[in-house]
Amino acid sequence: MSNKQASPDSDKTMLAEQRPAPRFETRILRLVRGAQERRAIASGEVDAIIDAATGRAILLPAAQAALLDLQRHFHSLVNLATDGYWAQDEQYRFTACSGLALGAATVADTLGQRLWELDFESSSAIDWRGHRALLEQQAVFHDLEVCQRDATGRLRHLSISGEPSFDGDGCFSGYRGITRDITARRMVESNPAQDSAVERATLDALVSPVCLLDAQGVIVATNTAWRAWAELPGAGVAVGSHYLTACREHRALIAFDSEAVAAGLAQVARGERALFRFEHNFDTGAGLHWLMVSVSAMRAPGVAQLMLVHEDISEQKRRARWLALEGTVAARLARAPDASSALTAVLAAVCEAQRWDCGQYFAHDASSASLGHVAQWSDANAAEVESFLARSPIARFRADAGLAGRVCEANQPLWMRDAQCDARVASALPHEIGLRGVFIFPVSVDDTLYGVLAFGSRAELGEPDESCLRAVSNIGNLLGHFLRREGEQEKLRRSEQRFRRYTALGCDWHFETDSELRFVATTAAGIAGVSDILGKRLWELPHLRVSDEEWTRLKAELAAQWSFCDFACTARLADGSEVRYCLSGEPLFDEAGLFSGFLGIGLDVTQRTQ
Amino acid sequence: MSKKTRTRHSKSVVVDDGKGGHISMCLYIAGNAPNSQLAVTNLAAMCQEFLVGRFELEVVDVLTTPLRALADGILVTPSLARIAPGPAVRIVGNLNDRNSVLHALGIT
Repeated sequence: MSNKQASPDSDKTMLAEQRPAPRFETRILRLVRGAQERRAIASGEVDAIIDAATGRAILLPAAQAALLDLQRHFHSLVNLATDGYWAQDEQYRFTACSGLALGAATVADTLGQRLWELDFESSSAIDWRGHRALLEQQAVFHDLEVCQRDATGRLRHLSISGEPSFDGDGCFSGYRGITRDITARRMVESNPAQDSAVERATLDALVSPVCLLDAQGVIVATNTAWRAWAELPGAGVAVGSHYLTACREHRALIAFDSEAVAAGLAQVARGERALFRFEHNFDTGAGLHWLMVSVSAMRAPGVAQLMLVHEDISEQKRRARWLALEGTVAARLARAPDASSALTAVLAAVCEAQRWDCGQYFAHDASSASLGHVAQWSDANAAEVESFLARSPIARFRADAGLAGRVCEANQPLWMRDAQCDARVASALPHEIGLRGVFIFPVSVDDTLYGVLAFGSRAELGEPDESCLRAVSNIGNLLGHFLRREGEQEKLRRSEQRFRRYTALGCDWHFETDSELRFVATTAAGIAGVSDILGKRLWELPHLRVSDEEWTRLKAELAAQWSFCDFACTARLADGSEVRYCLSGEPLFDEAGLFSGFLGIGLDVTQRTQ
Repeated sequence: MSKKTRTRHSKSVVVDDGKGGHISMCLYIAGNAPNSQLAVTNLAAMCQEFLVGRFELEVVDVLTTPLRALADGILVTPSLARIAPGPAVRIVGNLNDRNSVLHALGIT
């Protein structure tokens, strides 16, 4: 049992009886003869009376008011739930249309038309034949969708539903139905495409290469940066390929622990970790590229995807490598015993770090305006290069000749991707020894040029970036400082040697002790031979006659590391003669400031005393 | 055995559990008017309580088929007519008086 809306007939009935009459029930009681009915009417339990004369139902005022109220309520609900309602006659022509005008500019234009005669955007796409067949069967139809333009020209999607109506005799009288504006729903339904477009635009806006993996690890989407990256030699991992498989199959990809990465991806996919990061690199032929790969999960209902972001950390890596090389060069310079060893060590360090095959150092001689080969290093596997370098030590050339000369003149680095194809190279040497990449940079401090470092590689060289140029400048500077210091130390050593020679010429005995005051160096003295003196302390030497007080005073001065002057002592020689010496000494301290012994001289004052 | 039939202007419900004591009724109402709705509700409650599986009910809306009511001799709604078993009984009103209705239908 269900409620049923009053028919148009009943509407007419109610409208006809809208005028309340005084004592209505009393009046209509005349129509009812039965006592039971009259009692019910009197007690207010009756809604309608059937007028036998007219065959119509006459609603009592209370029922009529209640029904009108229900009708208003029903219409209100209909208006809330729909955007319009309509009615058609038995010929399917619109007889009523509220709310939205169907297929026309105004409701008046809709009236009198059949649905398929109206102007809909989508009319040709609608199965009117099927719809009319439904109408012929007097069947209920649901959600017939049409499109039309509103007054502003905006496309609106309408859904029309209807059911057949029948008159009081049960005869088909047409259709009644509702119209709903489903434009918003259609917009929402079309949102996935829009969302997809937004996602695509967002992905493409990202600077880093980004791809989306499905739960199986297959690349399902990439952004513009990824596609640009994938075009690099050795990088290509494209949509549709399994990420890990593609990485594994790609020989250019190195330093890639695929099992660990697969485990990390699986953990993210299962939600066991929010982020998984790993690092790998690949060779484009023009140099190594480093990538930091970050994997995070994108969770949406029914969708399990991984977002994989490649961050190019090549610049940081190269900078770090150059910094490490600078550190290595500084360490090797600090350990090098001399300039020659230092130069070889620096050449080796740079070649090993940069995978270059050979390196040479040419010293600059400002006085003769020439460059001279001083040191070299070559990879043991580069036989041709090694052979060439073996012939090079005799090389000396003008300071403005050749590639090294250019660097010398300009005091700027020089770089060649492929010397075999570079017009600046006149010689056939690169072809002979298979040399391609060349990198030469000056070794200088301030404005003083000490020489140039020249490196060669059998592979092409990539263009040096800022960190590379800064690093070679620093390395040149470090080496320059080292060479300057070495030069100054050499001068100092020569000066000291000259001083020692002059001292030896100016005194009769020259000696040096260690911190234990044992003689470690001495010239022959009249009192004993060198071998008799070395290893002994002064007071342990034979033949020396000094009072105990004098020894005590001297030992105290020596222990206090004070300089002593004109310490007089007498030595009795084997032939019975006596020799008198005046000894003077200065304490010595090493670079760390620690006492290292005494440096002293002795003067034979025998004759002066006599 | 259950069977349901429906016409456009009246609703007929036949329920028979095969236990006998079958009652056939017809309820005349005026759409959704208050007393008519009350009568439907009251009758439904009584059928559920006393006539489970052994009643047949037809509901006639006089607003749509007044002639049917007239033909059945019904002049006011709501009215309930017991058609079978005979003799025919007619109850007028919203069926609020439960005892009277049950007595008239011969259930108690």
